[in-house]
Amino acid sequence: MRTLLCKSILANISNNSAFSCRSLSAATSSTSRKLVYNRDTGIITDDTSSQQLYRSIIGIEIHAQLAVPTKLFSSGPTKHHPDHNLDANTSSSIHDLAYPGTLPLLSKSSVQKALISAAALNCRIQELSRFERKHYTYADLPFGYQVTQQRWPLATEGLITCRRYSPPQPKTKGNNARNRGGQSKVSGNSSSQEDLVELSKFFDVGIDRIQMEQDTGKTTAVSIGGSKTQYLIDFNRAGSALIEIVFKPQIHSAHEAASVVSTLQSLLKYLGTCDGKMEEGSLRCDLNVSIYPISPSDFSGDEADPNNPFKKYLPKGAGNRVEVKNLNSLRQIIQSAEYEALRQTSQIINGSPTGRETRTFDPKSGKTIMIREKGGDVDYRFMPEPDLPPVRLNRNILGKNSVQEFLDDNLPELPEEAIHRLMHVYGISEASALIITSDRPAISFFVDSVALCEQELKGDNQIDTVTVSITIANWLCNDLFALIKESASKKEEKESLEGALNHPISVEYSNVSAEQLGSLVALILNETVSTTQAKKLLGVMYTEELNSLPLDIAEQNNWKLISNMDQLKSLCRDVIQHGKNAKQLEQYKLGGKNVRKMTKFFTGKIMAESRGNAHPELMGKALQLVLKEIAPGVEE
Amino acid sequence: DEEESKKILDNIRVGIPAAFSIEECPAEIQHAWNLVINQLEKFGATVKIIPETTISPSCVKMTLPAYYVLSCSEASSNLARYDGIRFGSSVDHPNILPDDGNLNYREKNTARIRSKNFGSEVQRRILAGTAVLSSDRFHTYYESAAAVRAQITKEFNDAFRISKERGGDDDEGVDLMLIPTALTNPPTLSQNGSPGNTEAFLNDVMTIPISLSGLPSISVPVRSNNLSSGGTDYKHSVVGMQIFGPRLSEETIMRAAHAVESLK
Repeated sequence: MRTLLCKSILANISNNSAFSCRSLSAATSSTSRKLVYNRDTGIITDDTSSQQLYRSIIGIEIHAQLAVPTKLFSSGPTKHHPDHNLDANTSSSIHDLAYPGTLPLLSKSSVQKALISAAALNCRIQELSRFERKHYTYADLPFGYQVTQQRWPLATEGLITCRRYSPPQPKTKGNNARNRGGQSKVSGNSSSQEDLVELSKFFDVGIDRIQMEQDTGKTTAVSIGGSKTQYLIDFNRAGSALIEIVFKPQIHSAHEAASVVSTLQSLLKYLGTCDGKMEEGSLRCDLNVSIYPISPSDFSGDEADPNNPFKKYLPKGAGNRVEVKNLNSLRQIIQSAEYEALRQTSQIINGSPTGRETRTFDPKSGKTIMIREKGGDVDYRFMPEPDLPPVRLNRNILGKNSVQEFLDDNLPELPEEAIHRLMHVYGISEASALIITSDRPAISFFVDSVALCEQELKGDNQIDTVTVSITIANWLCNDLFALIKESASKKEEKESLEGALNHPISVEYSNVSAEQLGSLVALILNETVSTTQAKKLLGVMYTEELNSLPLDIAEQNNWKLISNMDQLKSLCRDVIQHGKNAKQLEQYKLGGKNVRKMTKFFTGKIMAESRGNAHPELMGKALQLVLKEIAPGVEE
Repeated sequence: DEEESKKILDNIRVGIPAAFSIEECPAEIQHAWNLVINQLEKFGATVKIIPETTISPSCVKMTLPAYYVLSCSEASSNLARYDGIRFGSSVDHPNILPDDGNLNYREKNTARIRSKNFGSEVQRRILAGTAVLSSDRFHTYYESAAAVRAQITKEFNDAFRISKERGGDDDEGVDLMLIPTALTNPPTLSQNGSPGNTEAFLNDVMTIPISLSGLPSISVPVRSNNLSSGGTDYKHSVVGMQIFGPRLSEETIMRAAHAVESLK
């Protein structure tokens, strides 16, 4: 059973399984061409002729809310603050409502989290950056301007290495990572074949800049009968600290776009700088989609979009870019990229290529809708922010004498490094490593657990570190996380606000400690308990919430494997010589194929008699010995 | 008495920037200026001229347009928050604007409220500031104004003394500067409190450069008895004299102002 944790890393999509393409018929009076988009490569193909026509090119901008308890420029509470009230317009400070007579005061923790994020994304850090005002009018923009960093951002020229996104596979019965069935040794080694394919699927995307800026309030449109719409504004989040991450247009397909966003989301959650909850608006994505002809002869010669700041990254003949704003899930990102690629292609084919547009995505219809033509022609009248000094990354803001010193203390081992370490030092599978590293505290939990388990197994030369690691990883990823998830969903029913900075499925909420888990696995590996018994033990430890040792619980409940040969032999004798089984014994004595058949029968009965506590292997041996005793000379 | 008061301004150097000694300065004001210089010397200060090579007249003159560019820009920005959505009286003038097809309902509403509730001078400054911040003018106007501001700040700071504690040498530089606050009569009620344009210019040039540089300043009234000389327009017996210094020099400024106040 895969935990839901796994799903949250890989995908939010449920439907598309076998098909990675989607088709759109370009219906016109002249030609009716059916176009197909490949979500992995970004290539648009004519379905009938199979000719490759165009390819999409995509630039991504992400706005991530920093996980800090106060706003960027005031002490007003954000949703990460314990006192935060979810009801609309109950948690906004007078500064963030732009009441006259207040001045901004920069939040140091916001700068620190922005810096950690930028460093983890391999950016060049600007020790001097500046804030500016970006002016426009909108109901949810209290100041009439947004304070941002346009000309002098905090960081430039970064890089993200992404794991290639693949939609989730439909579940089959053989997908379990761990063997069941009462076997004493747990297998489940990493499949080297699988690793090879996975590891080659990394790709890099350049980051142009990372800047700090304020969030606006939230606007909700409500239709109030007829064609009238009412706009409701909630200012609770106005003034929250955001980082805007602008990627270079170096990706080509819908799935690549999803990879970038998914990787970034995991990374920021891991760093603790953003909680990554797209559905709550903590992470918002804008796409810039354009297409270019695959065959150079299709290039018309007119340069579209000459003012594009990323001109040098665009292939020849690339069309005008269309901006799709405010996408809230991986599914929406994939659908809108695909829809735009097909729409722009069919329009070019019909002789009316798209211009610069700003659009939004409608999840119900799966289409993008225009909100503004000539998307880029707004003059924002940027002006340096006169009420704030330049941002200097010095002791005052960082608490350390240099950026490097600060990062040495605050930048943790990055997820890919951790995954590498878990796989190569501990020998666990990539799948397990992904699950563990997606919850940062789980890494040290795992390491501590392995250490304790090894300590308890000292002296048993047959059990190596890799076996210990793999077993612990399996129990952590499958069984313990399942218990945490179950208990978390029960809690959520009681509490209305999650509010935790960490992922709700985290070992931080586990009632079972690393030591307890390590101890339990040691019992499994030295065959004191069976897998089945261990599951029961884990359940008890979790619900009891005491710090009991698994061995104690096993003894209290008589959940230990019977390994004593004398005990086992006497158990066998009791069953074989029982009146109920006399017929089967006679049958056994006849020999031939009855031997195997009846051995099986007796095995089952003895197991049942022992309430599953008999050590399967040893019991088998004992049975053989006892049968020879009772019925000597019987041959197969 | 005199022994004690001599100590107040001991070791204080007062500079008179030549750039502010303009020809239009009326004799009465010149007279008051001299009176104050004498008084400060009596209290122990030494007075010297700051040459035009240190604080230049051309830069001083440029601060006026620079100031209006910068202050109108800031005004247009700081007043942007008054959109009528969170606060402000509602307005019921549906025809106050010609029907502009490009504006949506919210934009029309905001325009109505701002047109009604901002006075004419405010609207003038907002429009000027908005124009100057537009992307095709920003570089020419705003950035040039910011450069002028940086320049005048530098010129003042270069003329001020840097104490030995902060790594300067004590030989050059002044601790305070002294110039008149205004060069013309105060506007009369019949002028509606607004001076004519030339007068406004002359007066602004005495205060704006100091304001742009962010320096602390005080204006002390000085009684000038010499009204009869020269047939000038200056009709008042009180002249405002301005004492200013580098940042955080308020204490020294207060001492000098005290000395001036005791002029009889």
